[in-house]
Amino acid sequence: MINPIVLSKTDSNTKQLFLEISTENRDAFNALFHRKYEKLVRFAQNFVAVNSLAEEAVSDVFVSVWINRDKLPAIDNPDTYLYVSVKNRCLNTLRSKPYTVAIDEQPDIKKTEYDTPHKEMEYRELYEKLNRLINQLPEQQRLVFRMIKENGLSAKECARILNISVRTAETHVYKAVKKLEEEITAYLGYSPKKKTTKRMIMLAL
Amino acid sequence: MNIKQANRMTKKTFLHLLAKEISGNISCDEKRRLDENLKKNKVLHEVYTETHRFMKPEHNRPAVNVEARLNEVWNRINTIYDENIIPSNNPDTGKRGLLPLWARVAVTVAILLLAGYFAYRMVTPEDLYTETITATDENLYTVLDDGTQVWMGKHSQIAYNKRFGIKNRSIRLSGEAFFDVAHNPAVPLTVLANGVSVTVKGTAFNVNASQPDVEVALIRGWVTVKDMRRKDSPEVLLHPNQKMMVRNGNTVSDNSNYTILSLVQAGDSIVPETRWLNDALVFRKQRFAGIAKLMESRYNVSIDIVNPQLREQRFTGSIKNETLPQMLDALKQSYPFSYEITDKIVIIR
Repeated sequence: MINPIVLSKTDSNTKQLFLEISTENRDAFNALFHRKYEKLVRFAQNFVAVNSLAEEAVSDVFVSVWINRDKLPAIDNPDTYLYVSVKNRCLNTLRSKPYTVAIDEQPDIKKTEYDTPHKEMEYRELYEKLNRLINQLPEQQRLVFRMIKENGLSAKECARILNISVRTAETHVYKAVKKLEEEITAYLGYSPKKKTTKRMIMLAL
Repeated sequence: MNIKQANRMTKKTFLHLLAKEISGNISCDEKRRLDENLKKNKVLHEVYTETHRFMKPEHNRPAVNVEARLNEVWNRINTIYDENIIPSNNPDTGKRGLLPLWARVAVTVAILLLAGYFAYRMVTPEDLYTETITATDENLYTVLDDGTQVWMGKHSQIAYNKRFGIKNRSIRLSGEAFFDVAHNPAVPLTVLANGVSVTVKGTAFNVNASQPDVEVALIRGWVTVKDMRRKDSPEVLLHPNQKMMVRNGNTVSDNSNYTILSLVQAGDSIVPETRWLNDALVFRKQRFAGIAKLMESRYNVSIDIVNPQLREQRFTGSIKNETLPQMLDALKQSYPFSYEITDKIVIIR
Protein backbone atom coordinates (compact mmCIF):
# COMPACT_ATOMS: atom_id res chain seq x y z
CA MET A 1 0.00 0.00 0.00
CA ILE A 2 1.31 3.38 -0.91
CA ASN A 3 1.33 5.99 1.76
CA PRO A 4 -1.06 8.71 0.59
CA ILE A 5 1.25 11.39 1.94
CA VAL A 6 3.93 10.46 -0.51
CA LEU A 7 1.65 11.32 -3.35
CA SER A 8 0.36 14.69 -2.23
CA LYS A 9 2.35 17.60 -3.48
CA THR A 10 1.31 20.79 -1.77
CA ASP A 11 3.55 22.35 0.83
CA SER A 12 0.72 22.81 3.29
CA ASN A 13 1.14 19.13 4.03
CA THR A 14 4.51 19.64 5.66
CA LYS A 15 2.53 20.12 8.84
CA GLN A 16 0.87 16.77 8.29
CA LEU A 17 4.25 15.13 7.63
CA PHE A 18 5.66 16.63 10.80
CA LEU A 19 2.82 15.09 12.77
CA GLU A 20 3.40 11.71 11.11
CA ILE A 21 7.12 11.87 11.82
CA SER A 22 6.46 12.62 15.46
CA THR A 23 4.77 9.22 15.65
CA GLU A 24 7.88 7.44 14.36
CA ASN A 25 6.68 7.18 10.80
CA ARG A 26 9.79 6.60 8.73
CA ASP A 27 7.90 6.77 5.45
CA ALA A 28 6.76 10.27 6.34
CA PHE A 29 10.35 11.24 7.08
CA ASN A 30 11.45 9.85 3.72
CA ALA A 31 8.64 11.71 1.99
CA LEU A 32 9.59 14.96 3.67
CA PHE A 33 13.20 14.38 2.71
CA HIS A 34 12.38 13.74 -0.93
CA ARG A 35 10.18 16.78 -1.09
CA LYS A 36 12.40 19.27 0.67
CA TYR A 37 16.02 18.17 0.45
CA GLU A 38 16.99 19.64 -2.89
CA LYS A 39 15.08 22.86 -2.31
CA LEU A 40 16.80 23.35 1.01
CA VAL A 41 20.21 22.63 -0.51
CA ARG A 42 19.59 25.32 -3.14
CA PHE A 43 18.68 27.63 -0.30
CA ALA A 44 21.75 26.69 1.74
CA GLN A 45 23.94 27.48 -1.26
CA ASN A 46 23.05 31.13 -0.70
CA PHE A 47 25.08 31.00 2.49
CA VAL A 48 27.86 28.47 1.96
CA ALA A 49 29.80 28.32 -1.26
CA VAL A 50 30.84 24.68 -1.18
CA ASN A 51 28.17 22.35 -2.43
CA SER A 52 29.05 19.54 -0.06
CA LEU A 53 28.82 21.90 2.91
CA ALA A 54 25.37 23.02 1.83
CA GLU A 55 24.25 19.41 1.60
CA GLU A 56 25.88 18.67 4.93
CA ALA A 57 23.98 21.50 6.61
CA VAL A 58 20.64 20.30 5.25
CA SER A 59 21.42 16.70 6.27
CA ASP A 60 22.24 17.95 9.77
CA VAL A 61 18.84 19.59 9.98
CA PHE A 62 17.09 16.40 8.91
CA VAL A 63 18.99 14.35 11.47
CA SER A 64 17.91 16.77 14.14
CA VAL A 65 14.31 16.67 12.90
CA TRP A 66 14.26 12.92 13.53
CA ILE A 67 16.09 13.09 16.85
CA ASN A 68 13.77 15.80 18.13
CA ARG A 69 10.68 14.37 16.47
CA ASP A 70 8.61 14.56 19.64
CA LYS A 71 8.84 18.33 19.48
CA LEU A 72 7.58 18.58 15.89
CA PRO A 73 3.85 18.86 16.63
CA ALA A 74 4.49 22.11 18.47
CA ILE A 75 5.91 23.78 15.37
CA ASP A 76 3.38 26.09 13.78
CA ASN A 77 5.00 26.74 10.47
CA PRO A 78 7.11 23.72 9.49
CA ASP A 79 8.31 25.13 6.16
CA THR A 80 9.66 28.28 7.73
CA TYR A 81 11.09 26.17 10.53
CA LEU A 82 13.08 24.08 8.04
CA TYR A 83 14.42 27.11 6.19
CA VAL A 84 15.37 28.90 9.40
CA SER A 85 17.10 25.78 10.74
CA VAL A 86 19.10 25.42 7.53
CA LYS A 87 19.99 29.11 7.62
CA ASN A 88 21.21 28.88 11.21
CA ARG A 89 23.14 25.72 10.49
CA CYS A 90 24.87 27.44 7.56
CA LEU A 91 25.71 30.51 9.59
CA ASN A 92 27.22 28.29 12.28
CA THR A 93 29.31 26.57 9.65
CA LEU A 94 30.53 29.94 8.44
CA ARG A 95 31.29 31.13 11.95
CA SER A 96 33.39 28.09 12.76
CA LYS A 97 35.53 28.62 9.69
CA PRO A 98 35.63 32.22 8.62
CA TYR A 99 37.82 31.34 5.67
CA THR A 100 34.90 30.20 3.62
CA VAL A 101 33.51 33.10 1.69
CA ALA A 102 29.80 33.37 1.11
CA ILE A 103 28.80 32.52 -2.40
CA ASP A 104 29.81 35.10 -4.91
CA GLU A 105 30.12 33.18 -8.06
CA GLN A 106 27.30 31.12 -9.44
CA PRO A 107 27.98 27.98 -11.41
CA ASP A 108 28.06 28.72 -15.10
CA ILE A 109 24.93 27.91 -16.88
CA LYS A 110 25.87 25.40 -19.47
CA LYS A 111 22.70 25.20 -21.42
CA THR A 112 19.57 27.22 -21.71
CA GLU A 113 16.23 26.26 -23.08
CA TYR A 114 16.99 27.92 -26.38
CA ASP A 115 17.59 25.55 -29.23
CA THR A 116 19.52 27.58 -31.72
CA PRO A 117 23.12 28.26 -30.77
CA HIS A 118 22.82 31.88 -31.79
CA LYS A 119 19.85 32.59 -29.56
CA GLU A 120 21.49 30.67 -26.79
CA MET A 121 24.64 32.75 -27.02
CA GLU A 122 22.66 35.91 -27.13
CA TYR A 123 20.64 35.03 -24.10
CA ARG A 124 23.64 33.81 -22.22
CA GLU A 125 25.33 37.15 -22.58
CA LEU A 126 22.39 38.93 -21.00
CA TYR A 127 21.97 36.23 -18.40
CA GLU A 128 25.59 36.55 -17.31
CA LYS A 129 25.22 40.31 -17.09
CA LEU A 130 22.13 40.08 -14.93
CA ASN A 131 23.67 37.40 -12.78
CA ARG A 132 26.70 39.54 -12.13
CA LEU A 133 24.44 42.43 -11.30
CA ILE A 134 22.54 40.38 -8.72
CA ASN A 135 25.76 39.13 -7.18
CA GLN A 136 26.86 42.72 -6.67
CA LEU A 137 23.72 43.64 -4.75
CA PRO A 138 24.02 44.23 -1.01
CA GLU A 139 24.01 40.98 0.94
CA GLN A 140 20.41 40.93 2.10
CA GLN A 141 18.96 42.25 -1.14
CA ARG A 142 20.74 39.53 -3.02
CA LEU A 143 19.61 36.90 -0.56
CA VAL A 144 15.94 37.83 -0.82
CA PHE A 145 16.19 37.95 -4.58
CA ARG A 146 17.89 34.55 -4.83
CA MET A 147 15.40 32.97 -2.45
CA ILE A 148 12.59 34.13 -4.69
CA LYS A 149 14.34 33.17 -7.89
CA GLU A 150 15.84 29.83 -6.92
CA ASN A 151 13.44 28.65 -4.25
CA GLY A 152 10.20 30.09 -5.58
CA LEU A 153 9.44 31.70 -2.24
CA SER A 154 7.32 34.80 -1.82
CA ALA A 155 8.64 38.01 -0.30
CA LYS A 156 6.47 37.30 2.73
CA GLU A 157 8.06 33.90 3.27
CA CYS A 158 11.54 35.38 2.81
CA ALA A 159 10.73 37.98 5.43
CA ARG A 160 9.68 35.31 7.92
CA ILE A 161 12.76 33.20 7.27
CA LEU A 162 15.22 36.07 7.46
CA ASN A 163 13.40 37.70 10.35
CA ILE A 164 12.90 41.03 8.61
CA SER A 165 9.69 42.93 7.91
CA VAL A 166 7.67 42.11 4.81
CA ARG A 167 8.04 45.71 3.73
CA THR A 168 11.81 45.49 3.88
CA ALA A 169 11.76 42.31 1.83
CA GLU A 170 9.55 43.96 -0.76
CA THR A 171 11.81 46.97 -0.92
CA HIS A 172 14.74 44.64 -1.54
CA VAL A 173 12.85 43.10 -4.44
CA TYR A 174 11.94 46.51 -5.82
CA LYS A 175 15.54 47.69 -5.77
CA ALA A 176 16.78 44.52 -7.41
CA VAL A 177 14.09 44.66 -10.09
CA LYS A 178 14.96 48.28 -10.77
CA LYS A 179 18.59 47.37 -11.35
CA LEU A 180 17.56 44.53 -13.63
CA GLU A 181 15.31 46.82 -15.61
CA GLU A 182 18.13 49.31 -16.16
CA GLU A 183 20.46 46.59 -17.35
CA ILE A 184 17.90 44.98 -19.64
CA THR A 185 16.87 48.32 -21.12
CA ALA A 186 20.47 49.20 -21.82
CA TYR A 187 21.11 45.78 -23.29
CA LEU A 188 18.12 45.89 -25.59
CA GLY A 189 19.24 49.26 -26.86
CA TYR A 190 16.57 51.34 -25.19
CA SER A 191 19.02 52.95 -22.84
CA PRO A 192 17.65 56.23 -21.50
CA LYS A 193 20.16 58.44 -23.28
CA LYS A 194 19.48 56.95 -26.68
CA LYS A 195 15.78 56.89 -26.11
CA THR A 196 14.86 59.79 -28.35
CA THR A 197 16.97 58.78 -31.30
CA LYS A 198 15.74 55.22 -31.11
CA ARG A 199 12.20 56.44 -31.02
CA MET A 200 12.80 58.59 -34.03
CA ILE A 201 14.13 55.67 -35.96
CA MET A 202 11.22 53.56 -34.96
CA LEU A 203 8.82 56.24 -36.00
CA ALA A 204 10.62 56.66 -39.26
CA LEU A 205 10.32 53.00 -39.94
CA MET B 1 1.86 59.49 -31.09
CA ASN B 2 0.83 55.96 -30.26
CA ILE B 3 4.02 55.35 -28.44
CA LYS B 4 3.60 58.39 -26.33
CA GLN B 5 0.17 57.27 -25.30
CA ALA B 6 1.33 53.81 -24.46
CA ASN B 7 4.00 55.27 -22.30
CA ARG B 8 1.35 56.60 -20.01
CA MET B 9 2.24 54.13 -17.35
CA THR B 10 5.35 55.54 -15.78
CA LYS B 11 8.39 53.38 -15.43
CA LYS B 12 8.14 53.75 -11.69
CA THR B 13 4.64 52.32 -11.57
CA PHE B 14 5.68 49.53 -13.90
CA LEU B 15 8.63 48.61 -11.69
CA HIS B 16 6.47 48.80 -8.63
CA LEU B 17 3.93 46.37 -10.09
CA LEU B 18 6.61 44.07 -11.48
CA ALA B 19 8.30 43.93 -8.09
CA LYS B 20 4.96 43.15 -6.48
CA GLU B 21 4.37 40.37 -8.95
CA ILE B 22 7.79 38.89 -8.29
CA SER B 23 7.29 39.24 -4.54
CA GLY B 24 4.15 37.18 -4.94
CA ASN B 25 1.60 39.62 -3.62
CA ILE B 26 0.20 41.42 -6.63
CA SER B 27 -3.57 41.92 -6.51
CA CYS B 28 -5.87 40.98 -9.38
CA ASP B 29 -6.50 44.60 -10.20
CA GLU B 30 -2.84 45.43 -10.26
CA LYS B 31 -2.08 42.43 -12.42
CA ARG B 32 -4.76 43.49 -14.91
CA ARG B 33 -3.35 46.99 -15.02
CA LEU B 34 0.13 45.67 -15.59
CA ASP B 35 -0.99 43.33 -18.39
CA GLU B 36 -2.95 46.06 -20.17
CA ASN B 37 0.00 48.39 -20.18
CA LEU B 38 2.36 45.67 -21.33
CA LYS B 39 0.17 45.16 -24.38
CA LYS B 40 0.53 48.79 -25.30
CA ASN B 41 4.19 49.34 -24.58
CA LYS B 42 6.73 47.34 -26.52
CA VAL B 43 9.73 48.41 -24.46
CA LEU B 44 8.14 47.58 -21.14
CA HIS B 45 6.92 44.32 -22.57
CA GLU B 46 10.42 43.28 -23.55
CA VAL B 47 11.82 44.28 -20.19
CA TYR B 48 9.02 42.34 -18.55
CA THR B 49 9.68 39.22 -20.63
CA GLU B 50 13.44 39.31 -20.03
CA THR B 51 13.02 39.84 -16.31
CA HIS B 52 10.71 36.86 -16.04
CA ARG B 53 12.99 34.74 -18.17
CA PHE B 54 15.79 35.59 -15.78
CA MET B 55 13.63 34.83 -12.76
CA LYS B 56 13.33 31.17 -13.71
CA PRO B 57 15.40 29.04 -11.38
CA GLU B 58 18.80 28.20 -12.77
CA HIS B 59 18.76 24.84 -14.42
CA ASN B 60 21.62 22.46 -14.99
CA ARG B 61 22.94 23.07 -11.54
CA PRO B 62 24.96 20.24 -10.06
CA ALA B 63 22.54 17.47 -9.35
CA VAL B 64 21.80 16.48 -5.78
CA ASN B 65 21.76 12.76 -5.14
CA VAL B 66 18.77 12.83 -2.82
CA GLU B 67 18.55 9.07 -2.39
CA ALA B 68 22.19 8.76 -1.33
CA ARG B 69 21.88 11.66 1.08
CA LEU B 70 18.76 10.13 2.60
CA ASN B 71 20.70 6.92 3.18
CA GLU B 72 23.47 8.86 4.86
CA VAL B 73 21.00 10.64 7.10
CA TRP B 74 19.48 7.35 8.24
CA ASN B 75 22.93 5.95 8.84
CA ARG B 76 23.86 8.92 10.93
CA ILE B 77 20.66 8.66 12.92
CA ASN B 78 21.31 4.97 13.51
CA THR B 79 24.92 5.68 14.48
CA ILE B 80 23.79 8.24 17.03
CA TYR B 81 21.46 5.70 18.61
CA ASP B 82 24.00 2.87 18.41
CA GLU B 83 26.90 4.80 19.85
CA ASN B 84 25.00 5.99 22.84
CA ILE B 85 23.28 2.66 23.42
CA ILE B 86 19.91 4.23 23.45
CA PRO B 87 17.24 1.59 23.18
CA SER B 88 16.22 1.85 19.62
CA ASN B 89 12.66 3.03 19.44
CA ASN B 90 12.40 1.86 15.88
CA PRO B 91 11.13 -1.67 16.12
CA ASP B 92 12.35 -4.06 13.46
CA THR B 93 10.18 -3.81 10.41
CA GLY B 94 9.37 -7.49 10.70
CA LYS B 95 7.94 -7.16 14.16
CA ARG B 96 6.22 -3.91 13.46
CA GLY B 97 2.88 -5.35 12.52
CA LEU B 98 2.65 -7.52 15.65
CA LEU B 99 2.27 -4.68 18.10
CA PRO B 100 -1.03 -2.86 18.08
CA LEU B 101 -0.78 0.87 17.62
CA TRP B 102 -1.59 1.76 21.23
CA ALA B 103 1.14 -0.57 22.45
CA ARG B 104 3.66 1.03 20.14
CA VAL B 105 2.70 4.43 21.44
CA ALA B 106 2.99 3.25 25.02
CA VAL B 107 6.40 1.71 24.41
CA THR B 108 7.57 4.84 22.67
CA VAL B 109 6.42 7.02 25.50
CA ALA B 110 8.09 4.79 28.08
CA ILE B 111 11.35 4.75 26.20
CA LEU B 112 11.25 8.47 25.65
CA LEU B 113 10.69 9.05 29.34
CA LEU B 114 13.58 6.79 30.26
CA ALA B 115 15.94 7.92 27.60
CA GLY B 116 14.81 11.48 27.45
CA TYR B 117 17.23 12.88 29.93
CA PHE B 118 20.25 11.21 28.42
CA ALA B 119 19.07 11.88 24.93
CA TYR B 120 18.94 15.57 25.53
CA ARG B 121 22.09 15.77 27.57
CA MET B 122 24.24 13.59 25.42
CA VAL B 123 22.93 12.78 22.00
CA THR B 124 21.45 15.89 20.59
CA PRO B 125 23.14 16.18 17.22
CA GLU B 126 24.15 19.69 18.19
CA ASP B 127 26.38 18.09 20.75
CA LEU B 128 27.79 15.50 18.44
CA TYR B 129 29.34 17.26 15.48
CA THR B 130 29.27 20.88 16.47
CA GLU B 131 32.88 21.85 15.95
CA THR B 132 34.00 21.97 12.37
CA ILE B 133 37.29 22.59 10.63
CA THR B 134 37.45 22.99 6.90
CA ALA B 135 40.43 23.09 4.59
CA THR B 136 40.05 25.54 1.75
CA ASP B 137 42.13 25.03 -1.35
CA GLU B 138 45.20 24.05 0.60
CA ASN B 139 46.01 21.11 2.81
CA LEU B 140 45.50 21.93 6.45
CA TYR B 141 47.26 20.76 9.59
CA THR B 142 45.59 20.98 12.96
CA VAL B 143 45.81 19.52 16.45
CA LEU B 144 42.57 18.62 18.22
CA ASP B 145 42.00 19.18 21.94
CA ASP B 146 43.06 15.65 22.88
CA GLY B 147 46.38 16.03 21.04
CA THR B 148 45.32 14.10 17.94
CA GLN B 149 47.09 15.47 14.88
CA VAL B 150 45.07 15.82 11.70
CA TRP B 151 46.32 16.48 8.20
CA MET B 152 43.38 17.44 6.05
CA GLY B 153 43.35 17.30 2.26
CA LYS B 154 42.17 20.23 0.18
CA HIS B 155 38.47 21.07 0.66
CA SER B 156 38.07 18.38 3.25
CA GLN B 157 36.07 18.94 6.37
CA ILE B 158 35.95 17.35 9.79
CA ALA B 159 33.21 17.85 12.33
CA TYR B 160 33.62 16.63 15.89
CA ASN B 161 31.98 16.80 19.28
CA LYS B 162 32.46 19.50 21.89
CA ARG B 163 34.93 18.79 24.72
CA PHE B 164 36.70 16.41 22.39
CA GLY B 165 38.53 13.65 24.20
CA ILE B 166 36.81 13.88 27.57
CA LYS B 167 33.94 11.45 27.09
CA ASN B 168 33.68 11.13 23.42
CA ARG B 169 35.84 11.34 20.31
CA SER B 170 33.56 11.31 17.28
CA ILE B 171 34.77 12.78 14.04
CA ARG B 172 32.83 13.02 10.83
CA LEU B 173 34.99 13.39 7.75
CA SER B 174 34.23 14.50 4.26
CA GLY B 175 37.19 14.40 1.91
CA GLU B 176 40.55 12.98 2.89
CA ALA B 177 42.50 13.17 6.13
CA PHE B 178 45.40 11.54 7.93
CA PHE B 179 44.97 11.03 11.67
CA ASP B 180 47.74 10.53 14.17
CA VAL B 181 45.57 9.70 17.15
CA ALA B 182 46.59 10.58 20.69
CA HIS B 183 46.64 7.39 22.75
CA ASN B 184 43.69 7.11 25.12
CA PRO B 185 42.20 3.64 25.39
CA ALA B 186 39.44 4.88 27.69
CA VAL B 187 37.93 7.06 25.00
CA PRO B 188 37.97 5.36 21.60
CA LEU B 189 38.05 7.61 18.60
CA THR B 190 35.63 7.07 15.74
CA VAL B 191 35.87 8.55 12.29
CA LEU B 192 32.72 8.36 10.22
CA ALA B 193 33.28 8.89 6.52
CA ASN B 194 30.53 8.36 3.94
CA GLY B 195 28.83 5.92 6.26
CA VAL B 196 31.98 3.90 6.90
CA SER B 197 33.11 4.07 10.48
CA VAL B 198 36.69 3.56 11.63
CA THR B 199 37.27 3.00 15.35
CA VAL B 200 40.71 3.38 16.87
CA LYS B 201 42.46 3.59 20.17
CA GLY B 202 45.74 5.25 19.32
CA THR B 203 47.19 4.90 15.90
CA ALA B 204 47.97 6.63 12.64
CA PHE B 205 45.85 6.11 9.60
CA ASN B 206 44.63 7.75 6.44
CA VAL B 207 40.99 7.92 5.38
CA ASN B 208 40.13 8.90 1.87
CA ALA B 209 36.43 9.53 1.42
CA SER B 210 36.62 12.00 -1.42
CA GLN B 211 34.79 9.46 -3.54
CA PRO B 212 31.78 7.41 -2.48
CA ASP B 213 34.17 4.48 -2.13
CA VAL B 214 36.10 4.87 1.10
CA GLU B 215 39.74 3.96 1.45
CA VAL B 216 41.37 3.43 4.85
CA ALA B 217 45.14 3.04 5.01
CA LEU B 218 46.64 2.05 8.35
CA ILE B 219 50.22 3.02 9.17
CA ARG B 220 50.52 1.91 12.79
CA GLY B 221 48.41 0.56 15.62
CA TRP B 222 45.10 -1.06 14.78
CA VAL B 223 41.64 0.03 13.79
CA THR B 224 38.32 -1.62 13.12
CA VAL B 225 36.32 -0.62 10.08
CA LYS B 226 32.59 -1.03 9.70
CA ASP B 227 30.40 -0.11 6.78
CA MET B 228 27.40 1.53 8.44
CA ARG B 229 25.63 1.81 5.10
CA ARG B 230 25.04 -1.92 5.03
CA LYS B 231 22.89 -3.58 7.63
CA ASP B 232 24.88 -6.68 8.44
CA SER B 233 28.39 -5.79 7.39
CA PRO B 234 31.06 -7.14 9.73
CA GLU B 235 33.56 -5.17 11.74
CA VAL B 236 36.89 -5.69 10.04
CA LEU B 237 40.15 -5.49 11.95
CA LEU B 238 42.94 -3.86 10.02
CA HIS B 239 46.63 -4.47 10.67
CA PRO B 240 49.43 -1.96 10.16
CA ASN B 241 50.44 -1.44 6.55
CA GLN B 242 47.13 -2.64 5.30
CA LYS B 243 44.69 -0.76 3.20
CA MET B 244 40.99 -1.41 3.02
CA MET B 245 38.76 -0.23 0.21
CA VAL B 246 35.06 -0.13 0.95
CA ARG B 247 32.96 0.20 -2.16
CA ASN B 248 29.76 2.18 -2.12
CA GLY B 249 27.23 -0.28 -3.39
CA ASN B 250 23.95 -1.00 -1.75
CA THR B 251 23.09 -3.43 -4.48
CA VAL B 252 25.90 -5.87 -3.74
CA SER B 253 24.18 -8.86 -2.25
CA ASP B 254 27.09 -10.64 -0.57
CA ASN B 255 29.20 -9.13 2.13
CA SER B 256 32.37 -8.73 0.15
CA ASN B 257 32.04 -5.09 -0.78
CA TYR B 258 35.49 -4.49 0.62
CA THR B 259 39.02 -5.49 -0.28
CA ILE B 260 42.11 -5.53 1.89
CA LEU B 261 45.44 -4.79 0.27
CA SER B 262 48.96 -4.41 1.58
CA LEU B 263 50.50 -0.99 1.45
CA VAL B 264 53.45 -0.93 -0.88
CA GLN B 265 56.29 1.29 0.15
CA ALA B 266 58.00 3.27 -2.54
CA GLY B 267 61.78 3.64 -2.64
CA ASP B 268 61.83 6.36 0.01
CA SER B 269 59.89 4.29 2.54
CA ILE B 270 56.79 6.43 2.14
CA VAL B 271 53.58 4.71 1.13
CA PRO B 272 51.78 6.48 -1.72
CA GLU B 273 48.62 6.84 0.39
CA THR B 274 50.33 9.31 2.70
CA ARG B 275 52.59 11.05 0.20
CA TRP B 276 50.23 14.01 0.12
CA LEU B 277 51.11 14.79 3.74
CA ASN B 278 54.36 16.30 2.53
CA ASP B 279 52.61 18.61 0.10
CA ALA B 280 52.06 22.27 0.87
CA LEU B 281 49.75 22.85 3.80
CA VAL B 282 48.41 25.56 6.05
CA PHE B 283 47.82 25.78 9.79
CA ARG B 284 45.69 28.29 11.62
CA LYS B 285 46.19 29.46 15.18
CA GLN B 286 48.00 26.29 16.16
CA ARG B 287 49.96 26.02 19.39
CA PHE B 288 53.70 25.88 18.90
CA ALA B 289 53.75 22.47 20.57
CA GLY B 290 51.52 21.15 17.78
CA ILE B 291 53.58 22.76 15.07
CA ALA B 292 56.67 21.19 16.60
CA LYS B 293 55.01 17.77 16.23
CA LEU B 294 54.26 18.62 12.63
CA MET B 295 57.87 19.59 11.99
CA GLU B 296 59.07 16.43 13.71
CA SER B 297 57.16 14.21 11.33
CA ARG B 298 57.76 16.38 8.28
CA TYR B 299 61.50 16.80 8.68
CA ASN B 300 62.10 13.58 10.59
CA VAL B 301 63.77 15.29 13.57
CA SER B 302 63.05 15.46 17.27
CA ILE B 303 62.26 18.86 18.73
CA ASP B 304 62.72 20.02 22.28
CA ILE B 305 61.06 23.26 23.33
CA VAL B 306 62.71 24.66 26.41
CA ASN B 307 60.58 27.74 26.92
CA PRO B 308 57.12 26.73 28.25
CA GLN B 309 55.60 30.05 27.18
CA LEU B 310 56.58 29.42 23.61
CA ARG B 311 54.75 26.08 23.65
CA GLU B 312 51.45 27.84 24.15
CA GLN B 313 52.09 30.53 21.57
CA ARG B 314 49.79 30.21 18.56
CA PHE B 315 50.90 30.55 14.96
CA THR B 316 49.19 30.77 11.60
CA GLY B 317 51.04 30.09 8.40
CA SER B 318 51.66 27.87 5.42
CA ILE B 319 54.45 25.56 4.33
CA LYS B 320 55.35 24.76 0.76
CA ASN B 321 58.79 23.29 0.28
CA GLU B 322 60.70 25.18 2.93
CA THR B 323 63.56 23.49 4.70
CA LEU B 324 63.47 23.17 8.46
CA PRO B 325 65.72 26.22 9.10
CA GLN B 326 63.65 28.27 6.66
CA MET B 327 60.49 27.34 8.48
CA LEU B 328 61.96 28.09 11.89
CA ASP B 329 63.25 31.45 10.66
CA ALA B 330 59.79 32.29 9.37
CA LEU B 331 58.16 31.38 12.69
CA LYS B 332 60.75 33.44 14.50
CA GLN B 333 59.48 36.52 12.72
CA SER B 334 56.16 36.49 14.57
CA TYR B 335 57.45 35.37 17.96
CA PRO B 336 61.14 35.64 18.82
CA PHE B 337 63.03 32.51 19.79
CA SER B 338 66.36 30.94 19.04
CA TYR B 339 67.11 27.43 17.89
CA GLU B 340 69.96 25.02 17.50
CA ILE B 341 70.02 22.13 15.08
CA THR B 342 72.46 19.37 15.81
CA ASP B 343 72.11 16.30 13.68
CA LYS B 344 68.47 15.24 14.05
CA ILE B 345 67.80 17.11 17.27
CA VAL B 346 66.41 20.63 17.43
CA ILE B 347 66.50 22.66 20.63
CA ILE B 348 64.29 25.72 20.76
CA ARG B 349 64.66 28.39 23.44
